[in-house]
Amino acid sequence: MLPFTMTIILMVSAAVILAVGKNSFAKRLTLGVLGISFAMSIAMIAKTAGGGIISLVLGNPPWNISLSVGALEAFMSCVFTGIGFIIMWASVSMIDHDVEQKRIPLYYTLICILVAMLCGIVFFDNMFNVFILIELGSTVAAGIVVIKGQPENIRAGLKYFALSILGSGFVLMGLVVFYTLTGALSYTGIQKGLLENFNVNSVFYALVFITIGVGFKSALFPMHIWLPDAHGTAPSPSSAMLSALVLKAYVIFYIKILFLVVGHQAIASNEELSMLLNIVLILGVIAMIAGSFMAILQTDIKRMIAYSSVAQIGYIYMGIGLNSELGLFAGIYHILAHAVTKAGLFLAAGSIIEQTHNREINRMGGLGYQMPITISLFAIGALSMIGFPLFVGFNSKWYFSMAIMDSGQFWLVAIIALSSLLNTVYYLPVVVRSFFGTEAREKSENRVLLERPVKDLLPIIVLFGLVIIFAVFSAPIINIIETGMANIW
Amino acid sequence: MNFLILMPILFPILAGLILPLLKLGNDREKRQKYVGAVVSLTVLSVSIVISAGDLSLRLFQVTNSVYMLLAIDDLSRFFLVLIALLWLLVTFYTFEYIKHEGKDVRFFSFFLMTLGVIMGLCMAGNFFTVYLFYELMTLITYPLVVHSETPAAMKAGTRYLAYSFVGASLALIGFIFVGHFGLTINFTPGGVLDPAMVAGHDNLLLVIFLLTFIGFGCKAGMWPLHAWLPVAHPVAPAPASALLSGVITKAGVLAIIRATFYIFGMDFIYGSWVQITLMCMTLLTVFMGSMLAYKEKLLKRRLAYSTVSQVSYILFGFTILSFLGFEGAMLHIVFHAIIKNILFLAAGAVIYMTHQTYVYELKGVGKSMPITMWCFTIASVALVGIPPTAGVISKWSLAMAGIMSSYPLLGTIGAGVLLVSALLTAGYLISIFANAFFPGADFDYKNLKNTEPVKLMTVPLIILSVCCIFFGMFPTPLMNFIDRIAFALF
Repeated sequence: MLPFTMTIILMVSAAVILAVGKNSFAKRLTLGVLGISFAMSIAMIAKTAGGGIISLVLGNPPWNISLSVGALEAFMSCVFTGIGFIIMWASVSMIDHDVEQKRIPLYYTLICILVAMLCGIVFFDNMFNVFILIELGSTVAAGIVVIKGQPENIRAGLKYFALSILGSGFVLMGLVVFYTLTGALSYTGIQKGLLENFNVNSVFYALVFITIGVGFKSALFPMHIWLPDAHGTAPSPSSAMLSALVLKAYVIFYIKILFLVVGHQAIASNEELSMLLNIVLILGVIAMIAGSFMAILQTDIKRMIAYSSVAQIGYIYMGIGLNSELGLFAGIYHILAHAVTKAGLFLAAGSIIEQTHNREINRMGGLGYQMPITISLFAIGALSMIGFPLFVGFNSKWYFSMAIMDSGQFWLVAIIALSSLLNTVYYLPVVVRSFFGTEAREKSENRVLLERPVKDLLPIIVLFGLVIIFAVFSAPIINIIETGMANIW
Repeated sequence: MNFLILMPILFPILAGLILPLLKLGNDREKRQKYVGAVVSLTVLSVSIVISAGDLSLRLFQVTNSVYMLLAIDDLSRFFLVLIALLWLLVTFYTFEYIKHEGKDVRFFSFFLMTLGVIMGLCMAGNFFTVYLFYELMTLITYPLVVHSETPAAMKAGTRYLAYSFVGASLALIGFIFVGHFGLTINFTPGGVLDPAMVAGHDNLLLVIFLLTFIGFGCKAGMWPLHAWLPVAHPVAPAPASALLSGVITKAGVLAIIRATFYIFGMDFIYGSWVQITLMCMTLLTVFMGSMLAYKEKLLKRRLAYSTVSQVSYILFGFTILSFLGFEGAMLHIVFHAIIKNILFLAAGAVIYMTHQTYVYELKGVGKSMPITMWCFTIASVALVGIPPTAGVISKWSLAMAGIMSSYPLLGTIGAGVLLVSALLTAGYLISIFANAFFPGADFDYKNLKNTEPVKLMTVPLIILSVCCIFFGMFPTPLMNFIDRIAFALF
């Protein structure tokens, strides 16, 4: 019952926030309900850590409501609600700058629905339910982009919405193929159906459709074209939610389709299916390199971070494309690593923009003397993205590398090294220019402190604390992911 | 007891971090006392750590197989003592010198942190820890390089970062392969590669070893990743150049020793094409460095090119993979560190007092700054390799090791290159002090003033010069200690 109750509570609070319509109430209730959801997610982890599954079935298959939550789902729920909580905590002081007062209750309504939908996508076992949530997610996610109300937001939001719906269409086509093939709608149901009636051609087309659909939604290169606009122009807490969390829910859905429904052995033993995964791998690799190159070309700090997400999503798809247990593990670990780091980076960038009204990287010289804490925090995020040891980004880079070595495709190690070098090229100058150089020298002499109060910076500090804590005390996380993967692999 | 091992790392790093918060303001004297005390206490903690037996400490389980390991062995002791003592001497010199650079809070803050990081590198017990401290060192030394924040310094700093990160990426590739093909990532004399897994991938792993060597060779100024060094060392303030050239290049050397003898293992490399390639690459660097130094007119850059050349002497010694080569290289680590510190500190003293930066401007400096230039002369003579100074012993061993190596032809050519390079060294250094002491008949003796710097600057120079001669005459205790390290490997 726990996961279902949690989803319902989130949905109900969304409605309550809109009904009451008070800003401070909206903020408080959102934080409260996210906190409760996080506690419930921790309880779910405690229940499933031994390998158990919480399941709930209402009605008769195939057209029913069913949930199935193992350790992986509980872990993802922790990520969504926990990091969501921290982002919303940061939004309390940031959102007033980006969103009109009268729209703030609506904003928090959308956020509550969004988190409910993210958790729902991983909880629900019935694809029909999952699809409805995915559709709902497209609308809500576009909503938190356009809520800022500037023309460029509306343009970006519409682009996002259109491509997201297109993606949903592809996902639906894939699900239809699975349904006609097996007559089932749940992951396990389709899996059983496929064991009896494995038609390679149908499965191949279903996977192609779902890959394209999920690719659009999670911004797999070259289906990422909406992401820089949407993430770059959205209010910073929205960018953090979208980059850190929203993309990941679709990836989990994709992972379950691939490895739970179809299965890694079936993929490995069929030429067509392994070719498809190879294409996913190649697209991931291209995203890693191309995303970084495009990030280097950006002058707007938020667009730069957004392009960096394209590259980081590429890492995750590369891990999936390896079709190996280690690769999948690395991908899931990176979901967490990227979520904490990218959320922090977007919030730090948001703080910079809010205080200096400047988004241009070229004009950030000497900022380290005006906002020393924010820039230092940004530096932690940058180093984590670069893959510096003792930051969480290094851990996932290491897991990806070990997965690559295990699969024998040694050339990919060079890609990893190249990609982290490229990350250095665009992340490090921001930090370096803030503290050193002619402008820095001038600004250090006439110091104007623009730092936000520590109270407001606290959530960002917590996020970057997690970046380090997850890196040096990673054993519990490794255990949970491994237990969760046992249900899928 | 094992926690003691953290002292030399954490103490200076924390002290450096809190220095800007201490509100010492403009009180230069208090600040100097603070920095002096921190460095002295670090040296003290090093002496405790090295005498407390083979300590080791495991921290931070990053992944199942990767964790931070600090451990003390004889090689760590060797580097710890060398670096800590040199650091102490340079610290006192810096107190005076930094007056002319300004921004000394920031300088000393990073100066202390660099000490902590390099102590960590010395005590690293596995590949991960070396990689971690190696990367950290790049970041922490960057502010020392760009200290003046002039456009030239910023450009040099960017180049420094670019080369260092490329080098570190190559080392990371090596680390990843070791993580897969190795039985462990902990340093073990003789190497850690798993023969069963390596079988069939020998050539691939040799390439990877070559990449790792080149990657770590970046900090040591080895061709092809050397080009940052002659740009970055001269723009830094003189004490920083002295440490960058004399000490931090040795960090690259240490990483190479660890990778060669403790990770990939000598047996794996011995007699392979990679060994020949590396011998040729180091010899090329030796020759190229001295040629460029000979042609260079800017004093500090001339010394930086000389570093490129001399550190590759050391690397050449290691690539021979013989007992004698190892011994010579280790000796040269000590001697070059001492000598290059003298040269840079003396050059710094000259620049500090006279603001002359080109070699042809140094005419007659020997008359006005006799102590400084005498130290410079002793160091030059030692670097050329003239008895009774220190350089001769290491250079002799290296040349002998080359001739007696398993590739007699290449080794003999190598010995020849070392000899030619020594001649070039003589050419580019003797001209400086000859000019300084014998300015020629047209020199204006009437306006001669004694511009000798204060004792804070000259005493470290004198101590180092005495060491330079002392080790030349009594190298036995040092050699015995090096032999102890070498016996574990050969």
